[in-house]
Amino acid sequence: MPQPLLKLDNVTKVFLTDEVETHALSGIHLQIEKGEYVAIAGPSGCGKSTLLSILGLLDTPTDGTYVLNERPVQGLTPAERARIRNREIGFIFQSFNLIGDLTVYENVELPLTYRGMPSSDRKQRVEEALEKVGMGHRAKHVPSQLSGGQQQRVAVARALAGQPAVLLADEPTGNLDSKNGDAVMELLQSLHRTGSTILMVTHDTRFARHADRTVHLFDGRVVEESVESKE
Amino acid sequence: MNDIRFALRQLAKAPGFAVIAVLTLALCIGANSAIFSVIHAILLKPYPWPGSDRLAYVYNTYPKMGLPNAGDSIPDYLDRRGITGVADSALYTRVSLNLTGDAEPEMITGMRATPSLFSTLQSAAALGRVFNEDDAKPDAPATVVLSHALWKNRFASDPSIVGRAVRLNDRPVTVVGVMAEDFYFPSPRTQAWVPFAFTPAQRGDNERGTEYSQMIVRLKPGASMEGVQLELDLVQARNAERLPGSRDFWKTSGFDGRIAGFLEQNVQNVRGMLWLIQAGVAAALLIGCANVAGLLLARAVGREKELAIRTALGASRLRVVRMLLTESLVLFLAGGLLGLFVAIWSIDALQGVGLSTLPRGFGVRLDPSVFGFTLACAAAAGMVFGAMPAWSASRDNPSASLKEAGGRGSAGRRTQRLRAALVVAEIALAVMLVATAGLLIKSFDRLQRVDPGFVPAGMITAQVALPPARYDSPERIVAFHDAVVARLGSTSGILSAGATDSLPFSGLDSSGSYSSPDIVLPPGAPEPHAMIRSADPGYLRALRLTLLQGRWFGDTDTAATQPVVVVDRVLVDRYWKGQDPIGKRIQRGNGGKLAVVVGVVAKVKFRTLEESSDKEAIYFPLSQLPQPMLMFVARAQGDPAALAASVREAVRAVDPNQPVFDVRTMAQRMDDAAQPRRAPVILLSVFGGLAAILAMLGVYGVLAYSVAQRTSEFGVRMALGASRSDIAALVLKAGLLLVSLGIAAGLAGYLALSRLVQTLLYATPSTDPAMLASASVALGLVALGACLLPALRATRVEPLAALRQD
Repeated sequence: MPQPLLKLDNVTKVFLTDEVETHALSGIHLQIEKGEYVAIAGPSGCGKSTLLSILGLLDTPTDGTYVLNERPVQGLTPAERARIRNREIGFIFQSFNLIGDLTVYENVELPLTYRGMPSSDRKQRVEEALEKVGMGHRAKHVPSQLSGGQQQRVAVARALAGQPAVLLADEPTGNLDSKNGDAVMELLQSLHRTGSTILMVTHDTRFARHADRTVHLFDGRVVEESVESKE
Repeated sequence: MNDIRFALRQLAKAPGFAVIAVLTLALCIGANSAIFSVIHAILLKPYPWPGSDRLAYVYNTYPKMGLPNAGDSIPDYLDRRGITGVADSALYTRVSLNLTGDAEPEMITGMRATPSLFSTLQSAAALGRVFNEDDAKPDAPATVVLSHALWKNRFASDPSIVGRAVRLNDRPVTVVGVMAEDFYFPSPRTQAWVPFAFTPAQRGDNERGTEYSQMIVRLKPGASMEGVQLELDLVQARNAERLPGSRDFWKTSGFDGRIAGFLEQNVQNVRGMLWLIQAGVAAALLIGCANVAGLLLARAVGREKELAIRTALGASRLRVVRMLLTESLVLFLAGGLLGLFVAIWSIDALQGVGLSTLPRGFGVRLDPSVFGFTLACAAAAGMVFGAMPAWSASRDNPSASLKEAGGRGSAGRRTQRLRAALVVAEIALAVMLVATAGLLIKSFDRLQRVDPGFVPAGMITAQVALPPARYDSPERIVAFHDAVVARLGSTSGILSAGATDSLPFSGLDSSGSYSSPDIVLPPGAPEPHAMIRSADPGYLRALRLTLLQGRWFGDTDTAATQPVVVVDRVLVDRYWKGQDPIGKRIQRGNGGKLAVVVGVVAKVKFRTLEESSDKEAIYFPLSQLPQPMLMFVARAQGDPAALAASVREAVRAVDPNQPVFDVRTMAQRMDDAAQPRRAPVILLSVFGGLAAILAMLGVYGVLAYSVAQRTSEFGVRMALGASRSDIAALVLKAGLLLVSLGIAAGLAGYLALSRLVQTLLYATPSTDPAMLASASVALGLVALGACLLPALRATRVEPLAALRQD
């Protein structure tokens, strides 16, 4: 029986600040199959970003288990976590997080360099990724020369270039106007159609409808799961 | 005024920054002021005599004999004083004066001078009068003019001293005047001046060649050195025509009169060294200023939003620049003022490294012009280094800055580039300084290993100047010498004792022509000329000279026996190479008794360890060539300094009225001789170290700032899979790039200036690859150390926290 790509079991995250315990996540159970497009929705402060950080191995749960691609990730060393982030996960941030001193090409190439991939292979991957998001003609530009929508498309290309198992998108349209926001959503949609697994955090129900399934969080708990009908 | 108030408030808000910046500037500006005080006192400040820029020396010169600056004879002086370009002139010679009387006998440094000395210097007595021509007649009553210091210290500033008799060299001498407190000539060590009286015989042509005096001239207004030189040439041409007997010698030796600027001549040996030290400390100042400018740049970025608000409220770009410049000027001027105290302290410290022993080094002090220099340095540094951050910050787009969280906008990147450029320049300057200091250390070390031709350790030396009135015959001098040496020889703790008239590293030396029936000179060759020394039988053992052949003098060599000499290896190599020198004959000048060569010794370094060995030396037995100026030398069993009292006692036991002076160990003498080379070694090492520390702080500052600026970038990179070592490597790479660029620029800069450095090195090439590599590696390691902390800090960035910063 095929295992889910991501599996969270009773995951809890508690922050301790000034001796005050804040339960960001409480008893989260979540499974995401390969090729699925899942939205995580909820109001501000409900734990969406914390959940995404745990899924992206940027943070660790206080309790519970997390299995990624059939591999439990608790107890991994920082170096192993970095390696998994590099190979299995593609990040798309709200604020794009492109590196201003690098060109578009170099930004997309960056995760591949950490993988130690040969230059010719990197070139092919970068060009493919940029073509996929329609930014091939801007390869030599620096981020400050691009619009917000273009920058986010480059960020998507960067996430795609490594051919990760899952794309984690944190409010990918949060810094974009509605036209550019729609364009990015269409891009994610088309990636999903070609087989990508996508997990997107959003507080905008309008965008959540693009996903196959929406997980609603409230006060750190999963309160509802809804499946979109794709008629 | 508002800007100044605001600037002070800004500095008070960031006390850590203000303290670090002001201390850095105070240290650098203070060190610059201290060194400039030395430069000013030695190279720039006029002498205390009116119109001292028109004073010049006139030398006898024998260029073909290797004697560019010989003294003048009395007839030479008389010939030259009538030159039309010369307004006034004087002849003087150093004389030791035994001052006796009620108090302890004291050897004072005197100057025998023509009465025209005071008119040439345009100086008058503060009390009484200076000499007149009547005082300088051979049969005139003896008179003396006292220095202010001697009058004050020895005679308790007695206002009735004028007209009183004091005892000098066992003769009553009338004090005719006391000079003003600020007068000295030729150095502040001179305590009295006595008239230089010329006998008719001394004025005659036979006295030409007796060149123990020095001539000084004052040029007429409008007269040039070149014009006077032409007149000197003319005088010499006329003499050559008038005195055919000397014509050949003058021709072969290239004899002439030579004029040289007074100040230039006095400081020429230290000029290059002093400017090199000034360049070194200036480099340290630039590095310090660059560091402070870097801090200002970082602060300006932090205030991007504040400046944007000011601009939005209507401040012009010029107005913003003015405000920021005021802040930096306040900072730099505070550094300058504190630097003055550092300078005062540093000047005291400089005495410790021996700068006070340099020509005119006694006059080193902070004066108004140095104070002005310090403030000008501070203001200029404040303007230049403050302008950069001010201009950079004022270039920002205010609307963008108002939207940004601050600190990561275009100003941040531009600032980072500027700071990086400053750090590259800092490292470059530090490499230049460290390379120079390293080469000077290597050169100095090599110099200290030079064999002086004797064993300096364990020797105590003392000088006496026997007064001609009491020691009026060779026999008396020899008897005094024999008695003192005998006493020294029987003193406990003394292994051997001897005496000479010319001790190495004592400043006493004499030279003269000699001839030999056993020397065949090629046609046109100059007459032989050598250093002439008198020494006693104990001298060889006391100094541990190396006897290469034959024998040294013995007690059997007396005034009544066959005259003998010992020569050095240089003479043998020059005239008797391949021959046995023992038995060859030599005579001083062209007359007198022929002395037989009985031994050959190795070359002895006499003035400095680096002196070239091309001048031969001839040693005469003291018994056959007695001299009233004697240096006693004793080799001690233990600490030679502990024998100073014994040496004084030995002299006092023989003649209670004979002062002993200049009592020092040979090590001290050599130490003093090495000061002009040691001072730049010490100072440039200090400045090199300071430069390295400042450059390290600069590298650290830039990288630490860069890490803080790039926190979110590191977060992104880590989110994309970068490991902590990837991040550390990124920071180290950036640091090493700066360091490599700095080192490359520094080496290029150093090579461009290496010729200057070469003039200060001994037996060390200024482009010594090993030293340049060592300096680069040392700086590289120091800078790498500075990179490590920011790199480590970068690895501790938590990706999640970094991403949340956005």
